[in-house]
Amino acid sequence: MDYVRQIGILDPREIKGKSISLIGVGATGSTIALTLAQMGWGDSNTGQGVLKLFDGDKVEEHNLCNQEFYPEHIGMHKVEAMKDLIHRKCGFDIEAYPEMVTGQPSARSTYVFLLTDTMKSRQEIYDQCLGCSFNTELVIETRMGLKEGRVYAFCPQIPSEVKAWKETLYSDESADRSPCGASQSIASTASFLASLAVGRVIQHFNTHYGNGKLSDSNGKIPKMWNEVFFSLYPEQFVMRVFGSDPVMAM
Amino acid sequence: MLVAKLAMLGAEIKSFAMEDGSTVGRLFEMAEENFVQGAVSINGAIVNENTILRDGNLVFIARQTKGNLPFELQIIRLGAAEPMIAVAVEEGTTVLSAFNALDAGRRSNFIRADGTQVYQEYRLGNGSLIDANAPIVRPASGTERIICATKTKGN
Repeated sequence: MDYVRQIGILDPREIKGKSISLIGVGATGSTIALTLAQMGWGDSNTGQGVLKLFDGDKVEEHNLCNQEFYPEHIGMHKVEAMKDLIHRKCGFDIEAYPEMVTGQPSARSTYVFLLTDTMKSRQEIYDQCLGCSFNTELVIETRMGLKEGRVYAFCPQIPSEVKAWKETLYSDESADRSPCGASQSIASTASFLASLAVGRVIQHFNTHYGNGKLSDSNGKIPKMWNEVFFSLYPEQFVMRVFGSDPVMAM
Repeated sequence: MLVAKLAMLGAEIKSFAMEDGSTVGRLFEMAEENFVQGAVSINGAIVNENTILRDGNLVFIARQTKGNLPFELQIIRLGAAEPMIAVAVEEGTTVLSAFNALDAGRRSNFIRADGTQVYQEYRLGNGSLIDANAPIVRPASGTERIICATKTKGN
């Protein structure tokens, strides 16, 4: 892959051993995985970044309209299908684990995306796997509705951020349900949410390892929001650094 | 130029851009409301039609007692064509009681016909969570925000 068009913001040669785990490869996760691969994460020919995908589910027909998979992937494990897709599109292999994450250390990485479907699993995976991970620098967690979503980004080494994130968790029973009772999701919202989530990694990586690529002319680095709420119709945002008042764009 | 707000408890607050030096009487003319002597106040003090308005004044219709001053509650909901409505409430009002005091059209944005809540999560202006049945404390600034959000969990 030739990454010359993106090196102004992310140069894969600078990744150097930074790993990313995606826990959950559904609507958001499949788009995040493909985006990261296209950016060179996991391309051993260029950089040394590692991309690991975890999901025990298989591709079903109804996944095609809002996930990256092709019809020939139906019946395959999502992670294997994604590995195939990335190999065909990008020409390299990523690590695929067709299993649900509980407490396995292999799921720990420099950056971890928590992209499961239940609030309970988010909490459990964090407590069993990530809370004791000393090499994880950022956890990115997303929550998607039909036309709105949220992205959380926090450092598990900073207790105040972990506490603030945990305060945002709620029970699955109290979560929003669509009028028809079925889980509702559309590709446009998923891809928007995925872009915001990947942006957290770009921002964190540049802040710590990227030689100031995101700095403005005064050397200032953009603020990393811990929480971003958005609605797409109409476009509205509420963003917050934990412990500070929210900023609204409406 | 100044902005004055006219409020009744539980009702939506109306804002008016007015010339400097405008009076309370002029505000009532613009709002097409009847001024009732002794029942109109600003910051707990009864005012008359000749009282000069200051920018940001919340003019409250109904006698009030000191220590229980009404304040402006901005109810903000994502994904709405009209994302913010401002209502006048008093200390101790809960999120749900603020919704229930709205007219039927507005209320349906927050409470469905079957009584269930459209939003499942409420936050104050400082980002902290507040239960729908918890009393809202009067803020020092005179304005509080309630940000309404759905609890999404998909991926």
